[in-house]
Amino acid sequence: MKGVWNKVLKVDLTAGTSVIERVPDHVYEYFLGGAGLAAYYLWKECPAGTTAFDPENRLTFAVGPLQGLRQSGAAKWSAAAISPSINMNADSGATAAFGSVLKQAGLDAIVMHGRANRPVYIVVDNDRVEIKDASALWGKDAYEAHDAIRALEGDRFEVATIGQAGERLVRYASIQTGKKSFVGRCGLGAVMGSKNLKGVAVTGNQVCPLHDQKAADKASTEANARMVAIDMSKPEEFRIKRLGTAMATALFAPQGNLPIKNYREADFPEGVAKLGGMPYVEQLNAEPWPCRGCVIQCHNHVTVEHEKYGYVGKGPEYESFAMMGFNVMIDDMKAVAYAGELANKYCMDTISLGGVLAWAFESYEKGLIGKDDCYGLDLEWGNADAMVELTKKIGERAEGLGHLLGEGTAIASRTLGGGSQDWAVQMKGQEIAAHNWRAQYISALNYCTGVAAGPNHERGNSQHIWVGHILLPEWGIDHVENEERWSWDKAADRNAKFHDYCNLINSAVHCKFMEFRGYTLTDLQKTINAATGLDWTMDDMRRCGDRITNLQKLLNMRYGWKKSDDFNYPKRFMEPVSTGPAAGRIPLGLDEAILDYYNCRGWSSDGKPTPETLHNLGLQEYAA
Amino acid sequence: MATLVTDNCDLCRFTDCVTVCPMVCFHADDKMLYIDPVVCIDCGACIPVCPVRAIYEVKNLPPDKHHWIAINAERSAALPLITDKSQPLPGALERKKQLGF
Repeated sequence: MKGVWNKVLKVDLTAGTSVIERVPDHVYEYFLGGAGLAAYYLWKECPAGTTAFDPENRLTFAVGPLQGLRQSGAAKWSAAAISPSINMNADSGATAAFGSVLKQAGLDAIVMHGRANRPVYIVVDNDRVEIKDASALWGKDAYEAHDAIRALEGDRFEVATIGQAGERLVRYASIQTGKKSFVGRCGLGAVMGSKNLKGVAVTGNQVCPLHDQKAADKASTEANARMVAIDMSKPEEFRIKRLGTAMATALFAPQGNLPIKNYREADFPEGVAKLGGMPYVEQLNAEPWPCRGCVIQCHNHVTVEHEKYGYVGKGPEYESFAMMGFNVMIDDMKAVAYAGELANKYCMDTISLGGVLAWAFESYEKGLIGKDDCYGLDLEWGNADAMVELTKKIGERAEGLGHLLGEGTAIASRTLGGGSQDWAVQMKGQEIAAHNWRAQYISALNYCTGVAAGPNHERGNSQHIWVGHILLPEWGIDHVENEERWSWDKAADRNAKFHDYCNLINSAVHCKFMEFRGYTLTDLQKTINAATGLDWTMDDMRRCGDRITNLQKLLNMRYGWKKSDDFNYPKRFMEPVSTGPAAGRIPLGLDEAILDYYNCRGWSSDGKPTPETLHNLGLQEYAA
Repeated sequence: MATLVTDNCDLCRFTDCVTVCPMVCFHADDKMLYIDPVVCIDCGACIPVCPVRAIYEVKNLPPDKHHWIAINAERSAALPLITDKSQPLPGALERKKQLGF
């Protein structure tokens, strides 16, 4: 097969050795690459009973057939392992340039296992692989480690690092690359930390042969030009290139989608006015900060002037300022941005962090946490200084509350007790991202049934039907009415398609944000076929996504998933808000919708793939 | 409208921009790079990676650099494409320092 190297680098950190493994074509024909390839390696090498911090856990960085193309969104890469937050298989993704360069190094993936006897980083320079001492980098933040590795190895290396949060096993620690893009969800940074692995540096100059280079170039240039034209046709306040994800506030507020006061309320006009949109650009002096070859350019580079909160670096994404701003009732954009960048340096997922902070603030409000418990901080809603300081305490895993909050809200609320599980907005151990279930019920169904990374807004992004007006006409989702956002009719089928779509695109590997500016399944089909020669139909594309979803479900089952996990959703979303666009809306009927989803997928009423479903997907041997 | 390369590239030619361009629109002579305005889609991906800030969108072009619009159009039409990063020119680091970067 073209477009892939058929080569995976396997690194044993315990032994300090590495080996190249040849991967046969049929693995790619089944699972394509990226998230699918990483799931395949978990299936192949990580038996039942393996846990997140077990040295035998496999941490995979993987690319797919799209890396190396000059297509906007094709610098992406996937990472996967057994997660310390959801305690099951999970994948997450980042961009910058790491994905492109990993492919240029002549590899489809790096699969890492074991635990080094001292801090190390891995260097990959084409065929040269070295495991080097990182003792001097341990304790440094993720950006410092990034810069130090590039200073040692050269700036032709793209680098992925963790910060102190990963070293100290914060269960939602992330992995950064390029000081702008993050493997954010599910705590894969803590998996790196558990392996004493501070960073991975890659470089290379190899070009992977494609099946039809001209057709791939044509597909890329057509899509690139179309996406730029669409973005430029929007008013300035709705251009991704101008605002990045900060424009989401203006889209989400009228839908009731924002997470306000730990998802308890619907009104926060001061926050809506200040967090996002043109105020974001103006207050933070934001400029586009593109990933390699990207025409969408959602990341921002900011220069913030402020006595306490001034910094130069990455601007917060919507998810970051929503969860650390709206969700704790803070409307100070500069404070929220500063705290987000602190979290980036400690390298913690800002979505989970925001959920954890809001849970702590609500526990303080209800008297379960006192000032003495939280280093004298006054965790009153809206207290920006306290939010910033508590972020530091978590990143440092300071003794007491900082350490407890590093465990995430599931463990923290079980430990604290006092009814605090009622306002722990998490399920399966992971905090819920900044899309309100009350605003479109399909979000609830997505989170409850997701198998790629537990509850996750980017591993089943069916909320985009309403929040981003994204449809999948090639797969039969070609028209929706606004009122359907509160209906379960067709929700199971739509949700299944978006789960499979995400798995397909995360295995290709491509950035899903391209869809906001006109990138379609047809573009993806043209590109995959030109790169690989697979000649897939739309049905074949769906089948690939379906197969990966089912493989991930089998992995969930292997690592301990229970049917009750899907039904143990956050109580908060079953409490209505009294004002705003989603007033009175709660996803009643969710339990039945989950069962409907199982049925729609060809799963039993226990939520497990039936033998017939596995047979139809050619997955019989994977059920063992 | 397009994006274009200006005089700071002259005698530097770091070519970081070439690796990030999604459209393959850079051309080169032995001194610097030029952008083909017909192919460029004005995405601006190349702008922040230039170590000597030689690249501008036309709308942000300083008045004293407007002649570079015609130069980019003419030179890109006459010169070969450059598709991969290459070594900077000898003395590029020195020139970068002289330019204040």
